[in-house]
Amino acid sequence: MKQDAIRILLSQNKDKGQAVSVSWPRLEAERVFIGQSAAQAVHTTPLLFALCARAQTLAAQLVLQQAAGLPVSVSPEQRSSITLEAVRETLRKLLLDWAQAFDGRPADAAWMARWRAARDLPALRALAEDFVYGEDCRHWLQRGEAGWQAWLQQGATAPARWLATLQQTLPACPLLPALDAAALASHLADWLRPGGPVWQGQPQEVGALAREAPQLPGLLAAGLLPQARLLARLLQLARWLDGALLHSSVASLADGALALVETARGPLLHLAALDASGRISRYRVVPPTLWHAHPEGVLRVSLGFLADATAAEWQRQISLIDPCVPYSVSKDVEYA
Amino acid sequence: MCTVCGCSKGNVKIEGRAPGGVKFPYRSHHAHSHDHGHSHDHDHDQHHDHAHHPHQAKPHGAQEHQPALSQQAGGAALHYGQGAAHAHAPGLSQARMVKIEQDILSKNDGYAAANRQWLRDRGIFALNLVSSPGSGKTSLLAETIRQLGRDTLVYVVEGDQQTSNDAERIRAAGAPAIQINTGKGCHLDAHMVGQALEQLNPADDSLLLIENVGNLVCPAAFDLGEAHKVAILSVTEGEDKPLKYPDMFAAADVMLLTKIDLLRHLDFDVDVCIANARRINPKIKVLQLSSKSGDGMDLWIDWLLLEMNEAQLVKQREVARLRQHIAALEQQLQERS
Repeated sequence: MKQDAIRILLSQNKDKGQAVSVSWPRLEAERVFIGQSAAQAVHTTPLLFALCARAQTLAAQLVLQQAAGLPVSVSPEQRSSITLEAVRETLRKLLLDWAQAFDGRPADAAWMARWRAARDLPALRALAEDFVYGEDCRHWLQRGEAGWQAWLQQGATAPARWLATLQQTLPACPLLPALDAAALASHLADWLRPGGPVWQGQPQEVGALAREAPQLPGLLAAGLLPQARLLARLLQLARWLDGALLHSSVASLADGALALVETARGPLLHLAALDASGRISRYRVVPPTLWHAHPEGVLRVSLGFLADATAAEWQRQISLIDPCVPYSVSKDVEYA
Repeated sequence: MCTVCGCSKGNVKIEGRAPGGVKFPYRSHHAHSHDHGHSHDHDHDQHHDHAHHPHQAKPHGAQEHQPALSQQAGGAALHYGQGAAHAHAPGLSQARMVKIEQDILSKNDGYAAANRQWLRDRGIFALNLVSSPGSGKTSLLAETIRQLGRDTLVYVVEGDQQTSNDAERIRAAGAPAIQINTGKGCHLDAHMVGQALEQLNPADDSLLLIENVGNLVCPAAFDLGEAHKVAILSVTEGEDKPLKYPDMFAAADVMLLTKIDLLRHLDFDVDVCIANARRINPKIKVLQLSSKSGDGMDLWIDWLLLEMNEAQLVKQREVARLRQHIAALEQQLQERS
């Protein structure tokens, strides 16, 4: 199915005044669930939402069980499954998108072949230790901020070299604090706004940087957001490879239930309500990309300060923010 | 537009929300770091540039825009609308005004696109009704709701600077309504409307009527995510209004000429008025009506029902397309297993 693309428009007037507009007219495909049974919706979820399909399916299972009043528990196997999906997805980003953004081409075919073959955590860890860290993941994790700086200065791997090039400062969005479904339940309306989700009235940056910010105080204080963003992804990846598992939670609402499942790119929210016959009467999905593409969110805040940058630099910065859908950039230079 | 009157500032209130809970969206509140070694949030009341990068540094207080002096029949005229910003404000250069306008409108457009998709997904047909104060918008809405009857779900967003009188009139007419008080603001914007939609929660396949603040200038520039802007002009106003406020009549797809029951008492030339509107916007659809006498209301109601039906079909086609897509994927899965 054709995905809805994020639209980024740079307006530039004759005096070089610039403004960036970001919108993601997302089709709420989950509305086809209305009127269906819970089983049908869970079956359909990975077909409709192919990216992070395991996280999407888990969110659908959890929210529909909770909405039906059934006991809900998440097994270690389910958590391992969504974490493995996040690991594979992050490595895919590294080998394809970030290699393209920094080196101008995807990683060599031999790396991609290893990625395709790596289906379990040990194989993915071995791949990451060779391609990303150049050392044991746990050892790398324990380096701390100064240690990571020393590591990237050495530039022994491609990602270390990429990080060393990210020296620009950019303005920041507030970072979304760690939340679970219960904390979110009382602020749910803020996440469901037609214009995009907000927390405490403001759009937020979600995902790796929001989670790993406490590990990166120096970079954040210096405003080195692009470097912090990529380093946070590597930190997150190393943590998962070392056994940490992604979280999920559920909560009941006055009408229905919600489930919050963490993914590589940030929190994924599913909200559902059932009618008296057990059929779905309401369903909403709020993926992390809605945060990224918020009209005043991280894409706009970052790109608004890169208006004069090259197309390659835009691609690099968008790729680090990592919206999970295609995007188009257009320029309106004759504005005004 | 609002770079002139400064109406983007403060005091927005949406019914059902504590005033403090509504963050007005068009103040720059980016966090950025300075060379003194920490980052902090700014939350300014004024838009202004920061020289974050050397190439962005611009001299502030650039020369002010001087009006063009022209000779017209009966005397000279000062024209403040001939610079790049098509406007004037003391202390602001034309380039600066354009930058502010771009910044405001670029944010608004992002919110408007989200609203439009949200409405489209639900088969909701939305109109943005704009006019001068006193053109009879609220009376027209109340009569429209009455004539559409109970079978047609109508929701109303009422924009006004102060008071919820209009929303109360609309509720009395039988439609759920939410009031947005814009305070000093002279228009609704897409962010306010998005928040109102969340509160109002209109049903699928319904009609959403957004009554903008009475003003034929600023609302022209702000897309709210509506299907059409409808400019309402009463015959008590003057047939040259389309020429005086060309932005609005260029932005509108429909012009409603209201209070036509008063025509016999007035020296108002309907044909001239319509010709003026079409000089600005050749494609504008014109309907003449009176909510008091009922003349022309049937054509307006028919048009609303037809457009609502079209919006509902768009949603139904989208759902059907998704179902087909799912069925095709299921078929592929079966073939593989």
